[in-house]
Amino acid sequence: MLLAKNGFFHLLRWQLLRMKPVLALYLIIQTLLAVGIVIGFSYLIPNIDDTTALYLTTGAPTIILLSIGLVFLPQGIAETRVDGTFTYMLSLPLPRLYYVLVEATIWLLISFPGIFIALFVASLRFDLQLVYSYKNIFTFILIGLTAIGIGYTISLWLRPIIAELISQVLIFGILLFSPINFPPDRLPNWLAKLHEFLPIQYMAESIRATLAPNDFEIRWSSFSIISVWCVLSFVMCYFAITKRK
Amino acid sequence: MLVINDLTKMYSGTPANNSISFTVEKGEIFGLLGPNGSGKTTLISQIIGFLKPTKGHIEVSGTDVISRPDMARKLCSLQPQENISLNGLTPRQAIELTGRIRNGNKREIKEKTNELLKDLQLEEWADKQTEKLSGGIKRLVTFCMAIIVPGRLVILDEPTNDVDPIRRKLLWEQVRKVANSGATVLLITHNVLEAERSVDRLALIDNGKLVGVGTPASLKGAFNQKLRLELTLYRKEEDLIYPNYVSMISHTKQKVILSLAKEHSKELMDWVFSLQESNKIEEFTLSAATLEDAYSSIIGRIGDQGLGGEQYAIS
Repeated sequence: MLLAKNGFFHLLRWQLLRMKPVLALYLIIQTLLAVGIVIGFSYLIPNIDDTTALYLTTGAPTIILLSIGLVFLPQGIAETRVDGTFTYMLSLPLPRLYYVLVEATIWLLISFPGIFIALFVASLRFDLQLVYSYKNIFTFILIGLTAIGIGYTISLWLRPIIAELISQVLIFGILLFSPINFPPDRLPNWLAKLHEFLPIQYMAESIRATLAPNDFEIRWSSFSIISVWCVLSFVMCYFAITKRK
Repeated sequence: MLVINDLTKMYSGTPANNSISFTVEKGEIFGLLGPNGSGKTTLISQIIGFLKPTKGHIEVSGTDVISRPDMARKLCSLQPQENISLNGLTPRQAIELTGRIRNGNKREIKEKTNELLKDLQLEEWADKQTEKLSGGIKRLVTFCMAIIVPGRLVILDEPTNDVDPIRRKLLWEQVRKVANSGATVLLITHNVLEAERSVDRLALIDNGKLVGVGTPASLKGAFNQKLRLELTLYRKEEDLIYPNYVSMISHTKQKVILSLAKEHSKELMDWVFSLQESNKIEEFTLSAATLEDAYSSIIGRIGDQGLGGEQYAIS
């Protein structure tokens, strides 16, 4: 009710209309990316055992959510910052966090079909039995919000061109050097240590545990660390979006 | 309504706005006039809360908007200088959504949008995607977005850029309507002729400093008693010998603009006809002095004197 009164849904409609010409394309690309990650990685590894298959499958949602937050979203924001639209939108009498929440709503909606199609395809491909419950949705939303909060903060604190470059580097690091599709003990010590301070490993663990609770243990400490990152990223976002030069 | 007092904005030690002070009354159309880079957009960016002043005070409708940038956005509606991207939206959707975000009533917004689209002759494009529209039509759409639910202060940054002459006239009628409804209009332009016709009062800004505030007539000052002669030369480098009663306002390519006192008009015509007979000029126009002449003269003099020149008190 409060959101409706303060223009949240008008802003949401505005942004949905703005993205309408590319919305379908984003959905398709997201789905292809998600399915591609599962199938593509299976070519890299010739003899996939059950554990590897489970890691690959349950890692896909983390990669999708991180790519949405850290790549797709910053690129979109960089574009609107360059053409002046972003600044104009900030002249409208709306609470600052609405801009972040509207983006988060849209991008989460875009990511969900891809995530579930990828999980479905992977289950067929590797003959896996995954567990679906409200816990999955909750985990996806928490991780999606965290990734979007971090991506939005990067987009606002850095110059558009730098933000775009950083987002490209980040996705490379996420795909190849983060314990998402494999356990952290395969990484060199220093990198594994670094990941203890970053949210990526905990995101992957949480999603794995909710999708395959019989094989992986749900650790509330992982959820706590992600939640701290989520709150921190939104606080940083708030400071960035309210900052006056 | 709008009170600006001692407003200064420094960028790495250089003032973009240098101790600017003026007041605008409710219902007034107030122009901010100045050459490119003179600090006009920096000034409005501080009013709307995009930039934080280094020093000074801004009050809109009794609210200190420097300490309350959230209130600044409620009290002010803005048409930005650049054409923003409205891709994916039609003009009708963009105008209505802005109105709804500015807390307008759904039915009233629909009616007013229809009215604006009709009054500005935009109905033909109302439901087309904005990416397919020309720059001038997009400009008018952002103008409608700024006035669909006007703030107490409506800030229009070069509203007529790219707009055709017929719709320019219609746009100015709408601006007057907004002012008559009680809103204050702050108009940023470097089109002096338009400003002269459309504003109640204006401020001249150059190099970040206020160099004059007043009505167009008062700013013209001594120029009210003068004539303006515009000559188009046959050749760029035509070397004319000017009579001593004229003074040069500007000389660009083949155009020469001169100023002279009214009592010299008779002898001037003899001189102009002699230039025509000797094929030195292609054509000429004699008219009453305009604000542009005063503007060129003031801005020119400030330029000659450098940044430290005294502030002109013309009001």
